Amino acid sequence: MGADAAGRRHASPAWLKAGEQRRSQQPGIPRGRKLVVQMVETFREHMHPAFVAELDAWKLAEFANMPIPPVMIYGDDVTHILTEEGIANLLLCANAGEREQAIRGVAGYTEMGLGRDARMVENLRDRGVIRRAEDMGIDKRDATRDLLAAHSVKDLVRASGGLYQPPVRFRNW
Amino acid sequence: MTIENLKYRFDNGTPTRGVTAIVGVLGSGNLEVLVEPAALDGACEIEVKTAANGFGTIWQAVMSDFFARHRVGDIRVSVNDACATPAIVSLRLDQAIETYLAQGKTKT
Repeated sequence: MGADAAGRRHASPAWLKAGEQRRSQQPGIPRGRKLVVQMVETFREHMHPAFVAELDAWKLAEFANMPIPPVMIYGDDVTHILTEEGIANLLLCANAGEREQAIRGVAGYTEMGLGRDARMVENLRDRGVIRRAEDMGIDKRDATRDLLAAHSVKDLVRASGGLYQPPVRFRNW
Repeated sequence: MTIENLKYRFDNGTPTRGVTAIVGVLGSGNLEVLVEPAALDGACEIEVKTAANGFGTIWQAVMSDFFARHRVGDIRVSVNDACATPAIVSLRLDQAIETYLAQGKTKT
């Protein structure tokens, strides 16, 4: 998961570049950094925000009598956060304040996102810490199902040679 | 199920000409957006009918950002929403206004 054994016998370009980007903020001996990209929609089902000020893990720890809040992947292990609003490269953040604004800057219309410091977020965007679709030359309007190999569930059935039998609720074609 | 009605008005937009455009579908998690020309002294009026109640503040923020992005006036925007996420709403609004303006150019 978020585990990053710092040593590695075989380097990869991405691992080296992530290490280099981290070194731009925290100088030290050249080393790599594992990429941990959290891809998330700003709102989950029933409009529950994905970005919150306090994790449910705290309440769960208390309720279930756990020694510490149960967390699978800690924030400081994450290198990038990708949402529909953009991607935040946390390796390029100089301090905790920048890191906070980088995260708020991709948190969309959640309370966390609305509470952003707009000027600081634009500054982070200028520096490439936050990148939006348009910064990468992507027109969001092009993101239609025309780009998919299968345009419909029927295409999936056809491509599988009849091996895939979709659940009834997908059979409205 | 109750439908919430929200109204927004933004003044001092650039008066634009276009042709009535509609994008999106009224399906679950989606919405339809209608953009029409309207003599509003450069204002942009938006009316939202949404099945998701109690998200007025988020709608306000989404609409303010929409107007800040395009600053178009003399249009009336109608939205029929079936619980789309704010990202989808922004995308459909952008699609609708760009279609509206593009059609206006080819006409003249």
